[in-house]
Amino acid sequence: MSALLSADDLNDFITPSVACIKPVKGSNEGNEGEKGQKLEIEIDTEGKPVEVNKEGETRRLQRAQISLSDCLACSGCITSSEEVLMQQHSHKEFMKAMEKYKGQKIFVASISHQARASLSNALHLSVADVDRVLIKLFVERLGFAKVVGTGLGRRISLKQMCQQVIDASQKGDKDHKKPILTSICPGWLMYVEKTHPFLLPYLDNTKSPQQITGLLLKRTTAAELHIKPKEVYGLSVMPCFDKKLEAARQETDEQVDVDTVITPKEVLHLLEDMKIDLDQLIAEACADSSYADLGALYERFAPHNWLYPVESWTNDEGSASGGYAYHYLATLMHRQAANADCFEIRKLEGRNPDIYELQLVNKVSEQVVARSAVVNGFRNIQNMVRKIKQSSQKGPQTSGRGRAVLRRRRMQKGHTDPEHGSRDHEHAGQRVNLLECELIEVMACPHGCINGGGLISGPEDHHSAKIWVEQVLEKYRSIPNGDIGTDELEKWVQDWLENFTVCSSRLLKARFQRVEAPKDNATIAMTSTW
Amino acid sequence: MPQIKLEHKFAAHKFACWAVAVEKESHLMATVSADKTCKVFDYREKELLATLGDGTHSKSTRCVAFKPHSEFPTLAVGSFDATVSIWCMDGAEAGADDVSESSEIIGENGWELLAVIEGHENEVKAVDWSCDGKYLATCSRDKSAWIWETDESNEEFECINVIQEHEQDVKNVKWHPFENVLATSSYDETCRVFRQDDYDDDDWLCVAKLDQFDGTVWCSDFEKKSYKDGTMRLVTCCDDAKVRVFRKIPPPASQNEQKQEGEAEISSEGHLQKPVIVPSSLKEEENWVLESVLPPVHNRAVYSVDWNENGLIASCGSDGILAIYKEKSDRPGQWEVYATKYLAHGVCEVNCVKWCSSTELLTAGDDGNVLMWKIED
Repeated sequence: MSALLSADDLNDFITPSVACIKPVKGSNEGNEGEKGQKLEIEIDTEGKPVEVNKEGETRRLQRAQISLSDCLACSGCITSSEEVLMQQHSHKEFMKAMEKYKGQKIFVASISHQARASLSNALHLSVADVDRVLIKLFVERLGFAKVVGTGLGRRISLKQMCQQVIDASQKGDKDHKKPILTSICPGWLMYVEKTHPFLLPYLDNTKSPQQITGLLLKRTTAAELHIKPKEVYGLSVMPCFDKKLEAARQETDEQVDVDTVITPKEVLHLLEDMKIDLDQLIAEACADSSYADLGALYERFAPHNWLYPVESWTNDEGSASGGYAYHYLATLMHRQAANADCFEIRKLEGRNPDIYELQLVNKVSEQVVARSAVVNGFRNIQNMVRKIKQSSQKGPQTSGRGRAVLRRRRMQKGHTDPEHGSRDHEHAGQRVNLLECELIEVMACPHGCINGGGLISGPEDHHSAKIWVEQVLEKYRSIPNGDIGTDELEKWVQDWLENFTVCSSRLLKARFQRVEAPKDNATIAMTSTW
Repeated sequence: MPQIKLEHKFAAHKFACWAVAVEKESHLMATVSADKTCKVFDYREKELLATLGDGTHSKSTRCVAFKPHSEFPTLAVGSFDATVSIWCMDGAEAGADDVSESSEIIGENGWELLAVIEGHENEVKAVDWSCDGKYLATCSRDKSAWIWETDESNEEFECINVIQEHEQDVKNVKWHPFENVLATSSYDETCRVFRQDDYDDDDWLCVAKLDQFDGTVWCSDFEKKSYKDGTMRLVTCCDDAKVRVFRKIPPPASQNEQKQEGEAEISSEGHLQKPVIVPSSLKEEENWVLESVLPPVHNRAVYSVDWNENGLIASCGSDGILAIYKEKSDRPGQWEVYATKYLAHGVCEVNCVKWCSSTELLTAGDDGNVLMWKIED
């Protein structure tokens, strides 16, 4: 199983194709009443492209602009090398923004748990110390007003997703697509939009912790400081580059919740570029007596009226990507109330550690009452997509045609149980069955977010790389788990939505879009490499 | 110098014939073409046995490979429509006891479609089965090569690894005849070698990157010989009209002591038994060197190369030339031209060459023909 870490060593990651297919929009507003006439493009004597109509009139052509949000509509012009470019741009872009908006905007930051774990491992510090260092960096060195962990946003996301899945399963709607797939991972989401749009109805549309935190943080800070949300600049520290694209997705009100996303790798570049001595920063942060009480520190730099600021930095059970699959079953178990003791959550391993099933089992009757699964990495995603596709196709399937032949053959040979597969990883007759799960947590990266492409990478050779991931995971698990009571959380969110007059779907639900592949032969030919 | 004589012409397809595959035990030959079908012939009887078509693929079929060690003849066909179809000849009388079953079974003479594998984003360029038939490798213009695992039923194919190291189209995949080692050739002018991880069967590590090329690497093939010390050789052919042989130099014995307990033995079928390997934190990189550039015959892109069990190498290409090379017996590692045939398919490009015996080979050309040749002194 591949476990390569750095963005330079992409292996089991979903990689987009090369062609940039920014739809060529005709911006020929100059030529009124001449729609549909044939135009040619020539290069003039200065080497610039001009458009020539059939009367011979020429018009200079504007250079096509591609914005980051266009990239989302593209079939993926972001190749490996451009990812590196993107990486380099982003922290520089942030530095420019800091210069430009100094004194004009208030800066706020949200930090993901995986980023903290990554820095903790790379710098040989405890996560607590990393938090101190980050807060000192952002607040004292960079002048940020607020710094929060993404824990609150994650709990809201978990709760929302869980409720949606439970509602969908209970409704028994015949339109309900099972299994429900998470869309939290932007890499996975964009892949579905571009390559497998037939899966869009299966996706749960709950927003990710990054986006929920971003919106809450901006608006709450703005209110506290009596400024407009536009005057708040939100930075988010995330495990991968796709999170940048997620932040760039357009919202209904066209307001930006997260202005820039940087990765832990870029945090280190930032320190270098700004000539901030890391060792000195660490020494100061750990020696600062006002930083000793971590809880107080978290509270100090969260916005007022932030629900449980300390819990925003605490962790959750389940996978290191956020524990969505786990949380679904844990919620169901919790709802058994008095009977909760009769149940337990069991894990059924798949053929590799990146695919497994979780089952909520009644210990007494050994009955499985609910299932969820975790699927990480491209190859597992491929197999999952194929299984869902096959199951969704009505009528005789191509792969079924041969079954008649083989069943006959097996019966002739006296084999029993013709449907029995022959995989080695079956455990006591049970196989991971994705189609039977109500919810599948899908992450593009092998090992999930703890192995994101923006995290700090370790040694290159294969076996050491595996150990490195395990170390980062250990640091992640060292973050204490916390909890915010469901009712309290729900009430706080409702109150917040009312106070800030934000629609609940704006806070909690993402929007998907089909991405059209180029259909005209000219574009296809031009953008293909044979 | 020996002559290459035309033994038989199979007018296989009306459009370009892209590839030919050979199954020696049952002397079957499969051909694929721009006509979207796959045809199966018996090359001894010179007979067309079946046409596998009927709209299974919506675009040209580009590559084909027979599954080794299969109870019934089984083959995989890769197509420009991004899918791979798996066919099997179950040998039973077609139709007789099948009245109750769905009668849409495709194919003739007992050939059935077992599965259609999807996954690649665009044209599939090559397919190849591993020596034990357990894995199927496919590669595509989408720059990736996939490894699929299957069982005897050939219905279930599970993707167990996606190789994405190449920076451009992957043109060819080829397995080693005895070990689970895979060579991939690409438009990015490199050829890479992958080996199965000792501890995790699903993990494939890139152990070598051969980059001494001046153009697209179209095809590669392993030597059909096992060496006790772990040596391997790979022949490659390239857009730059050259045919190159690379050799893997096994690690020196002292380093190997930790790695191997006991000597590698070769079983009666010529399969190399895997030595017991003790965990080692050594890097996985293997030492592959360019051993020889074969004497120049081709003047244009060389599309296909095949290494016979008796040591002869055949190559064919865009210039219409079919060339055979032989290693000098007194100077191993050096090669001489053994035989050539110019304008093998007339003015048409020769897309693929495959040996079917120690002195006979098959070529597929843009003229839609598959020609059977025999080397005579």
